[in-house]
Amino acid sequence: MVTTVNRRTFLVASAGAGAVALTGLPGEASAASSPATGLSRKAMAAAVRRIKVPLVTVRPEAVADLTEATLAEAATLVRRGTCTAVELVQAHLDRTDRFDGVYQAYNARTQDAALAAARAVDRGRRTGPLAGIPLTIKDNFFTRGVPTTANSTIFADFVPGYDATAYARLDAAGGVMVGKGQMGPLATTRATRPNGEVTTVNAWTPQNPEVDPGGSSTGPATSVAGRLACSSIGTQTGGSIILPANRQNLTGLKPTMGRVSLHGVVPLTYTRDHVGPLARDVLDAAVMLQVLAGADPADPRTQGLPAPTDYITAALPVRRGGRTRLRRRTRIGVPAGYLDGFTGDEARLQRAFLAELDAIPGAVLVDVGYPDDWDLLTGTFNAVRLPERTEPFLPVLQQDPTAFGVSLTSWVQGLFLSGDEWITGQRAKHHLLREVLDSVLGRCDVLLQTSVVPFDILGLPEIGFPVGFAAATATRPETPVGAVLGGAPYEEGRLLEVVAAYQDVTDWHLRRPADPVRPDASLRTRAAARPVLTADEVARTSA
Amino acid sequence: MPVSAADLTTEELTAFIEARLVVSGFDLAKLPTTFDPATGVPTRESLLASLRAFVLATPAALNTWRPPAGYGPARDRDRYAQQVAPPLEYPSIVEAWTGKVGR
Repeated sequence: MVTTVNRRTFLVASAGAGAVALTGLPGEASAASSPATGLSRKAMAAAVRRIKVPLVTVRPEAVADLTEATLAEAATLVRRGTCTAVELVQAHLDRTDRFDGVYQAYNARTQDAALAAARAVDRGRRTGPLAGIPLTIKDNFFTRGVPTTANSTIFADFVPGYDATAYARLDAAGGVMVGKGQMGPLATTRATRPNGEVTTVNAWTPQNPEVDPGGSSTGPATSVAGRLACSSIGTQTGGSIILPANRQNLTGLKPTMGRVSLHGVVPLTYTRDHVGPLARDVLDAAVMLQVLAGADPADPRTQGLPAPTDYITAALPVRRGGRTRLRRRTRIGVPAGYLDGFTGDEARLQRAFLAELDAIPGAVLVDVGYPDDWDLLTGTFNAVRLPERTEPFLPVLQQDPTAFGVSLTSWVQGLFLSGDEWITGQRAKHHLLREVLDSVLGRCDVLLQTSVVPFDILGLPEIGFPVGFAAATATRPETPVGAVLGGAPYEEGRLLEVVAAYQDVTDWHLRRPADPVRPDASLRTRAAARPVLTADEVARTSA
Repeated sequence: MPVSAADLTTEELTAFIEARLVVSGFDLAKLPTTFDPATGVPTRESLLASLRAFVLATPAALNTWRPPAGYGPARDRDRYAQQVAPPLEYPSIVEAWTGKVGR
C-alpha cells in the first residue's frame, strides 16, 4: 500500500525530529545534520551547489511532455525558464497519480513537500544543480520526517530524525524527492510485500508482473523508466542497481566502495553495500554521481580516497571530424565465453553491441581470461556476505523472526558460517582483488561483466546500460537488454567515457515504454494477479 | 581422509543446527509449523531443510580454501600460505589508502 505523506504530517514529523534533537538525547540528531556530521554538512552543501550541469539541446518530445525529459534536459528547461519547477514536478506527480496503481513504484509519496520545494525553486530560494528535479529515493535511505521502512515490517514505524548523507547531498543540490521507492524487503530481491507478494512491475511489461523488473532497487528503476521521476538513487549489494537498470533500459552506476557515503542507509551487508544512481542516460548518471560523491565525516569508508573527478565532462561525447570517438584510448576487456552467457535474441544483441563498440575510434576490444579459481571465489564464496546481514539484525532475529517475512532464510544462514570462515572469505577477497587488478585489469582498462557479483565482492565500480530489446517470444514480451562494464578502483570516469561514446552512436537509451493500461472495471480489464515469491526463491536470489 | 559434514546423518545435522540456533538466541518455535501467507515466513521444517543444505555445501567450500603461496615445496604449502593475502574487508579502499590508485 502506498503511504501518502502529506505536508502536514511531514512538517509535524520534522518538528518532532527537531524537538527530539533539542532535548539532546544520545543518539538522536538535529534537524539539520546527522549525529556525526555536524557543521560539515554546510560545507558539503556549498560544494554540491557549485556543481554545474551543462545546458543541453532539449528534444521536442521533452518540451511537449516534461516527463519525457532527461535530468539534464529538465535542468535546462527550468534554468531557461521554459517551464517552472512546479510544472516539472506536477507533471511527474500527475503521471504517478495516473499510473502508479499499476507500476507500484512507490511505497510512500511526498507530493505536498515536493510541490513546496518546487515553489521554493521558482522563487529563487532553493538553488543548485538539481534545482526542481523530481527524484525517487529508495526506501532504505533515511529521510528526516518521512517514513523509511526498507519495505520491511521491522522498520514499519520508523521515521528517521536525520537524512542519509546521500539524500542530504541531493537535497542540498536542489533535488526534489517525490517519493520513497519500493524495494525488495531489506534490499534482498525484486520488490515484494514482506510476505513475498510481488508489488512493483517492470515498466516495459506492466501487464505481466512475472517479468523480472530487477531488484532490489525496483521502485527507483520503475519510477524512472515509467517517467514518474527524472532520476533516482538505489543501493547495490548483489546487483541491485545494475540489474534493474539493465532490465528497464536505464543507465545505472554502482561506484567504487567509499565513493558515496553509506551513512543513513539501512545496512544489508556492510562491506558490500553501495549507493548509486539509476538514470535515464549516462549524462544523468554522471550528474547524480557528481552530487553524491565525496567524503563524509560520518562514514570512514569515504575518507582518505582520491578526490572525485569530473564525471559530468567524462559523460559528454567527444566528436572529431563529425565522428564520435572515445575521450581517450581505452582497452575494453571481453572475457572468454562472454557471448556464451546469452541465448537467442540476447546473443544477437550482444554481438551487435560488441561490433558497435569496436567501431568507435579509441575503443580497443581485447580478449581476457578469468583466473582458475574465479568460479569458486565469485560463486560459493558469495555466501561470505551473509554473517554481515545477520549481525546488525540479531536482536530482531531473537525477538521476532517472523518480522523478516519471506526474506528470513538468508539472515539465519549467516549464523552458520564461523568466524574463521568469515576471515577466510576476507582473505579470498584480497586474493581475488590481486587477480583482478594485476591479471585481468592488467590487460584492459574496463571489463565487460558476466555477473555483477565479482565487482560487488571487491567494491569495484560498474555501469549498466541498454544495448537493445529482445524480441517477444511466446512466453515473454519484448524486454530491454543491457550490458555491464566494470572498472578499476575510483575509475568511474573511464566507465562514463565509454558509455558516453556508445550512447552517442546508439539510441536505445532514448526509448521509453508505452503507457500501461489501467485496470478499468467498466471495460472488464483487470490487473494481472501478482505472483508470490517463496522463502526458498528469495534465499536463492537474494542480493 | 578428513571428516566432512556430508558424513553426518540428517538427525545429527538437524541437532547441530538446532543447537546453533539456541546458542544464538534464535527460537525456532517462533516460526509457524504450517505456511502463513500473511507473513510469508518459512515454516520450521522448511527453514531447517534450507539450513541443512546450506551447512552441507557452504562452510566446507570456504574452510578448505587457502590462498596459493606460490613459494616453497608442497609439504610447506600451508605454512607459506599463512603469509599471503591477509584479510581485507574493503579491498578497493585499501588500494586507495595504500596509494595504489588516484596518482
